[in-house]
Amino acid sequence: MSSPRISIIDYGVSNINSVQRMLSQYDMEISIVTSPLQIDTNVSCVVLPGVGNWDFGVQQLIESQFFSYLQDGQWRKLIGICLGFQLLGQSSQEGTKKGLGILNMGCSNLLGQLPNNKLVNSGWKEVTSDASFPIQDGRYYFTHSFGFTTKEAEERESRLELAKIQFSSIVAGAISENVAGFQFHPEKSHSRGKLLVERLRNEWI
Amino acid sequence: MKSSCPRCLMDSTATGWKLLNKGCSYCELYISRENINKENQIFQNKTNSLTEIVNEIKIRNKDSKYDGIFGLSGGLDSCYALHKLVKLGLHPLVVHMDNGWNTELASNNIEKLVTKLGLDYETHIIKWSTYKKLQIAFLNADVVDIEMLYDQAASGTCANFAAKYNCKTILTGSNHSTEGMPMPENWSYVNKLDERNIRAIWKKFGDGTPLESFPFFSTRDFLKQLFITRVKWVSILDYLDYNREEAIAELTELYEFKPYPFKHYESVFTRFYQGYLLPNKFGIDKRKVHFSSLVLSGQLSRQEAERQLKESAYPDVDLLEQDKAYFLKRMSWTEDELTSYLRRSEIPHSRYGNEMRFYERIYLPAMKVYRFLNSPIKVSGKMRWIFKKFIRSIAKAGHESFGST
Amino acid sequence: MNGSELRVLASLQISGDEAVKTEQFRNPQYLGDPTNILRILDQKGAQEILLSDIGASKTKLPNYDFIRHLSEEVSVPLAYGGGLSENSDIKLLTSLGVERFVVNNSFFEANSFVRELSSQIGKSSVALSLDISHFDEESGILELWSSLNSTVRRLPISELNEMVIASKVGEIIIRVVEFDGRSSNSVPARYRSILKKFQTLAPDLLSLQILIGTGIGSEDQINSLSDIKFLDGFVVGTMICRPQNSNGVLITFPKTFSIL
Repeated sequence: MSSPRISIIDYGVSNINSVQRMLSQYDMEISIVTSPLQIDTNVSCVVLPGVGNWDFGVQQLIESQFFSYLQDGQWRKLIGICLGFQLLGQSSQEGTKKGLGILNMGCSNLLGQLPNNKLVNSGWKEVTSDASFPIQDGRYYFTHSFGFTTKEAEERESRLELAKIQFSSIVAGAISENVAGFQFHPEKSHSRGKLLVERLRNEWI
Repeated sequence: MKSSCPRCLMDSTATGWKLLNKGCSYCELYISRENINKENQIFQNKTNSLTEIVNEIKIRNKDSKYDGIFGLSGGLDSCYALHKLVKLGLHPLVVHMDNGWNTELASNNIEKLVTKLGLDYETHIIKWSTYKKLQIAFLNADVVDIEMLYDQAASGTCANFAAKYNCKTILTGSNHSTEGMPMPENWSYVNKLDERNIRAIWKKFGDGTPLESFPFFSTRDFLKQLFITRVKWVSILDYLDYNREEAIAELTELYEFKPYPFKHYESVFTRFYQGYLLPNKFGIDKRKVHFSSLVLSGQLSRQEAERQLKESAYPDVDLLEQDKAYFLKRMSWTEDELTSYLRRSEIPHSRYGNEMRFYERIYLPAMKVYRFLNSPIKVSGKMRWIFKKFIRSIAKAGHESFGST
Repeated sequence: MNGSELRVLASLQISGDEAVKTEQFRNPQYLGDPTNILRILDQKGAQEILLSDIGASKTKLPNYDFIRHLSEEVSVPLAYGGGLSENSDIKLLTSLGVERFVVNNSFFEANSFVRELSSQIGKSSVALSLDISHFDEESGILELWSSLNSTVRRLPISELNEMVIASKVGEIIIRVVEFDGRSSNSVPARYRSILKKFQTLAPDLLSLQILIGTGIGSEDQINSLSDIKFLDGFVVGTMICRPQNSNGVLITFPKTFSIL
């Protein structure tokens, strides 16, 4: 398989360099794009990273023209990371704006989802998943205060294979034929994160 | 066409190499050194019993808080030597010279040993901005021995701590069986303690800032130690049957020691220097020296050594790329600067200011005197020898004055 | 929090381009080159890194280029603190790999900046560092020390409670100034009593991430506090560079909490 071409979307809300650095360790052609016009038709996969607040993220996506591009669905495969993953959904309790709606579910706050009534989930959490999900069980790094719930995902998006944070119903990752998303940061998850990227590159992209 | 020794692995790329007896000039020297070394160590310490050496160290350091200073680099040799010394009942102060290039492995091994052995531990950390600039100066000077900086700093660190704690013994992991093969003159600088050379290169290629945190240790300083302050350097491994494989097994079992994939793996710069810079700029493969030592001490078969030599000094291409990138980053160099460095011709250390005259005219004779004074010949024998020499020289002078009739 | 879920962050202080270690946030001692230190920490599986620029906290000028260099050495989250203000280029810092922003002075001096920061970057990425120089348990008044001008700010915990919620900060790092660079047996007990007061006087903060730092000297001390359910983790400084209070410097990370 020749090197897949990957475009990482830079919409002003992300740790672009870390993501790029991680992806470039594998045999892939990486480009960072600041406008949809820069995305070639033969790009195999588009990556939407994101660190930030929901409303701010949506706004940035709209202003950079990527909102409509992504909604139009002209891409082959799409990976959403952290806020990028959340933005694939319809809405979030964190804000008022509408999300991309590519995934038929919304983000809620973490009330009742975490031990000790925590509303902020930060740290290395144990992730478990269905056998076919290309992720190794183990700990990955999370930092968020909103997320998708497995209940909603199972009810409304049955095509998705899910990974979740152990002992909770927080969706850690979701994957279908052409969309993948991770609530955790693969680029901040040390060797496991790297392994995940490798598997995605070899088995999914 | 390069020719090589049938017994060890040295070849004509080394100055003064030639075939000799069953091997070559180098392994012949190794063997004779092995004998002299044993004599020296034995006679310097007037005994060949480990327990006696240990006792002597304790006695000599009785006015200090510690049974001497131990210089721990984190490498296999120094870790094993430390382990052995403590087993023999010594409690030295462990010191480490940090030049900013430690690997995680070295940190781990130092920590494991120091913690498990319950020893006091101190470090001398050279200011990175200083060491970086010194290395860059040496690179720009095109001299072969960049690691001279490391060697001198490590010695200076030990010497400084010895002075600080009033210790009379400095213990290290250097050893003959894995290091006893003489280093060809053209493969490194013969006098690692040449402070003047470092300062001269700094003067020409540095930026004039002070070198305060660099622990210089000159040839003069060393002689002062030897003759005046009476501080002795002891390579404890030369008193044991030192076998690397067994040492690794023992350390791994006792301390969760993590073995190094290859020599000098404990410093990123050293492995890049030996594995990439030396072969590519200077055409030098120091593994020949190391492997020869191992072959001659029976720890490695010549066949296996030959096979390994044929492979790249960097067994892992990814690691080489990583090390190169890291080297460029820390030296703030571009790829182009590295390329032109590799292309430039070597400039001998002697081209810059140096202590070679002192080294040849005073240091080497002084060392001969030192060895002689500590040799096993009884005092009366020495006196007789001196007397005989004196008589002979008078006779010679007389003969010359009066001529033959 | 059960032991294995505790967050343990390696704290590295820098001043200019040097790694240093302070004692009671003074007398920075040279530790080495931060690039190599972070590389070693990453290889040891340090969970997260907290980088504090003590020079920048005075100049209010983060060293962007240097932060870029340093973030390249770690594949784990990097939190940054030191002189963050309304003039800081948050987008740039995020793109360089900073994943959490630690504020101290600006929380009090420029609170609108902190709110703005949170609305952009998300609550979970904003942390407040509280450097406690004195705590009056009876009155519940905190004395917070400011590194910027070495002054002290007095604040009842209950007021802090309101301020933090209003500013939408997602994480609190509680550090006792006295313990910086000086771990001792009395450290865990002091933190325990401080945390107890937080529990009663600032209950809204408990749902945020709560970390303690300074003075924690061993895995045992970490474990001794693991029964406090709302305590999420620890920031360790001395422990990662001078284990067991040795004179010598050794870069390390407690194995039990490593993510290897």
